[in-house]
Parts: sequence; C-alpha cells; structure tokens
Amino acid sequence: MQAPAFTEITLDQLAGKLSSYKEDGWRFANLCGTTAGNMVEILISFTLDEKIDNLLLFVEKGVKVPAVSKIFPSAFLYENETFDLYGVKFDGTILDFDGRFYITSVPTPMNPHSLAAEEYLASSSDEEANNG
Amino acid sequence: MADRTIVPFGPHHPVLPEPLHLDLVIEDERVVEAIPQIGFVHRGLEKLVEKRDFKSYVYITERICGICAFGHSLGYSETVEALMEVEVPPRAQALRVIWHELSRTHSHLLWLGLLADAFGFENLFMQCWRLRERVLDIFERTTGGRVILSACNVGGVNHDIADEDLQGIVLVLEGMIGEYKTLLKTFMKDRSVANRLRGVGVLTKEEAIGFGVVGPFARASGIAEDIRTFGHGGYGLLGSFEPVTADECDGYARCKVRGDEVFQSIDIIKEIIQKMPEGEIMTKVKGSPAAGARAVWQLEQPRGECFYYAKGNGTKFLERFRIRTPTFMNLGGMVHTLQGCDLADVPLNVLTIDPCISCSER
Repeated sequence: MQAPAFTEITLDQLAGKLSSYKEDGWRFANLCGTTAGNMVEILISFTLDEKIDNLLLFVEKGVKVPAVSKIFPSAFLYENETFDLYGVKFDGTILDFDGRFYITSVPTPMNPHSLAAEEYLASSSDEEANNG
Repeated sequence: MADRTIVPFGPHHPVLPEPLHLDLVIEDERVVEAIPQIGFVHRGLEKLVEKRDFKSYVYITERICGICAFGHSLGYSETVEALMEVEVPPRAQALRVIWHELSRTHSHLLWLGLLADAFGFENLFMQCWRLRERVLDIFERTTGGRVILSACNVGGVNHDIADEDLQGIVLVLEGMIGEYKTLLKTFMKDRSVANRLRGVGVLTKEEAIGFGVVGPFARASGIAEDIRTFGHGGYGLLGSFEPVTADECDGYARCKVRGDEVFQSIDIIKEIIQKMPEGEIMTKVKGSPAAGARAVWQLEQPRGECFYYAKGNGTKFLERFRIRTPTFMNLGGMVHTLQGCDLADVPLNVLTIDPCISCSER
C-alpha cells in the first residue's frame, strides 16, 4: 500500500483543491475534526483506486469553511457532524441541519472554546431561574 | 398538484433494527423528498480514545456494532499497526481473514433474514438465521464468543486455531452450501420477492459515483470496487479475485450481490486455510504512537468500505481515532433512492442498503 499523503492547506486553497480532486476522478472518503490547541484541525480524505490523499486545515474560532458538499454531495452529513461536535460551520452546506443532526447534551462538546458540561448545565439552570 | 404532507418515519419502525428518522415529504402516496436524522444512539466512542490506552481501546472498537464487531477491531488494529509500523506475523493475518470473512457471511445471512422478514416471508427469515447459527457456532468454538470475539489485537491475534479445527470449519461451510443455494434460489426466483425488489430504489452507476456510495450498495450499481482486492493484510496471501457486481441498480441487485458474496467468502476461507502459514500469531508491540504520527486505513466491512484515521501524541493514548463507517457514506445515496418511490416501498428500500446506525453514530 502506497503511504498516504497528508497535505496542510489554507482556507483559500480549499475550493481549488476540491475542484481538482473532482476533475481527476477522486472519491470523497472522509471529513472529520480534531481538537488542536485553540483551533480545530479538519481532515478531508479522498481515494482513487488504492491511493489515499488527505488535506489538513486548521480552523480558528468563528471562521467558516467553504462547503465540501457543493462539489462532493455526500459530504453534507460530515459537515453537519463536524458542526454539531466541533462547532465548525461550513459555508453553503447543501443540507444544513443547523445543529440538530446529532443530539448532544452540551452544544459543540469537542470545540476547544465550548463550555464544559458542568458549566453549561449551571448556565442553563441560571437562565431558567432568571426567566422563571 | 396534490397537497404535500410530511410523514415521520422512525426512529422506531418494525423494519428498522436500529434508530433512524426520516421526514418523508409525500404527494399522495409518492415520496418527493426524504430528510434523514440520526443521533439517537451516539455514544462518543471516538472521544473515549482519550481515556483508554491504545492497547485496551481495541475492546471498545468491538462494541461499536454487534455485527461488524470483529471487523472494527481488525480495522483499528491495522490502523495502529500502520501508525507504529508494526509487522504482523503471516499466520495472524491469515486467521484475521478467516474471522473477517465468517463475519461477512453471518452479516449477509442476517441481512437476508431481515429482508425476508420485511416483506413478510417469515419462514425464509427463520431459515436464513438458522443457517447463520452455524457460523456463530464456529466463532464460539474458535474464540469462546459468539458476537464479541476479542480475537484481534494490535500486533496479531489472541487465539490460534488448531489444524483439525480449521478442517472442521471447511466441513461446516461446505455442508452449508447446499442449503444456502436453496435459500438463495427462493430469493432470486420467487415471484413475490421479485415483485417487491425489482425496479425499487434504483441508483444508477453515475448517481452511485456522485454520492460516493460503497460496498454491496455500490457494487449493485455496477461499480467494481472492493477493498479486499487491494491485498491489504492477509488478503495479500490470496490469489486474485473479482468483486461481485450487478447492473440492475435496484433492491433485487443488492440482494443478488450480497447473496453471491457469501459464496465468495466461503471460497476465500477455504483458500486461506489451504495456504495457512505456520508460525507466531502475535508481535509484541512496545512503546507508544509517536507525537504527530498519522495513519489512515481502509477495510472492506460487510456493508462496504470503512475508513479509519488515527493520530498519535507520544503517549499511550491516541490523540484522535476516527471511524467513517459504510452506512455514513451510503445515507446520501439511500435518501436519493427514496425520492420518487411509493410510501409502501420506503421500509424495504431503507433495508436494501443494510443500514447500521450504531456503526454510523459510534
């Protein structure tokens, strides 16, 4: 098996890269987030026969990523998953569940800037007390 | 134009073994749009990799799904082995192939039974599951478990299989073939089965490529792609073989592909037993995955290509472990096949992709 490549790219390069993968016949294989310090690392993988190529993006808080699903439609589930768990928004997702794809007890639990579960529950109960 | 109505489908439905919700937008009895929702059994198992060291996490991966239990432990082990550049003994690789192909056989028999149950053919359902029991009996004899096998580990396998037991496996599988042919003939030739499956849930080859669907779902649309043919791991010990494909692109084709893959799995097991290498079954793994090391891996699970990603951080805990399951890849294609189908065909149509929601949510 050929060693898969991991290429770090910037947000500006993403759209061009996606188009060239599509033109060259690559298949979208995976998109996932990883917490990396104060940022979220996005891994996007493609396969062509036995080859695997991976793009790495580092996304800061509040930055939107161009939607992969505009070029590879099957990516819409991954984009919704990444938003629900990591809070990274994809600009132009073909089907946006707006945070209701996964049912989580804490919003975006894996985002480095999210409140911990205890803080979130405490802030929710404070809000309820103020409203009540 | 008829008024549009939204019919909720699932998460609890007699045909669904696992929770999936669909909002079906219908005009009269015809579906014009289907919007999926999952998330009912999300357990955060990928996150758990931060709390369990890389050697004990293999037992978590087996609990992702009861059907692909061995497959997930195999995919995880192979990904970590790629991450740490571990050389696995040939005998361990061959034993992994046997258990993985037995898993495919029992998974397809289970699915065929569920399909028969979905169109009300109870006797056929029971016959499929009766035959499946023999595969579970092999698991029990060789590992002690029927569902969770705990046979695979990073560096090799935990159990060896004695030569007489290997011959016993061949005898059991050969004994199953006659009965299985009779069952498959019923699926392929029975008029009531054909009425429910032919022309239902069509996904053309171009659409299948566009949605990136994988596994039997893709192969039933004429895409000849099967990760096993790449020769990863123990599959490299086998002679070349072709993926099972069909061109009808409908539910009937998906049934045909899975049906024929059972024969293929039996042939693979027989071949690997003939070529069984001698020697060790485990390489001792020392140290921890290096900081910043990354690896990706593909494995052909019963439902299709599973994609794994692991990242090390220099400790005994992985920084990240990702499992992209075949059903997650196939949901887009499934939703597309629902557009334009009759409301009565929705349950069967959903079932023909063999969805595994536990796998998808992890």
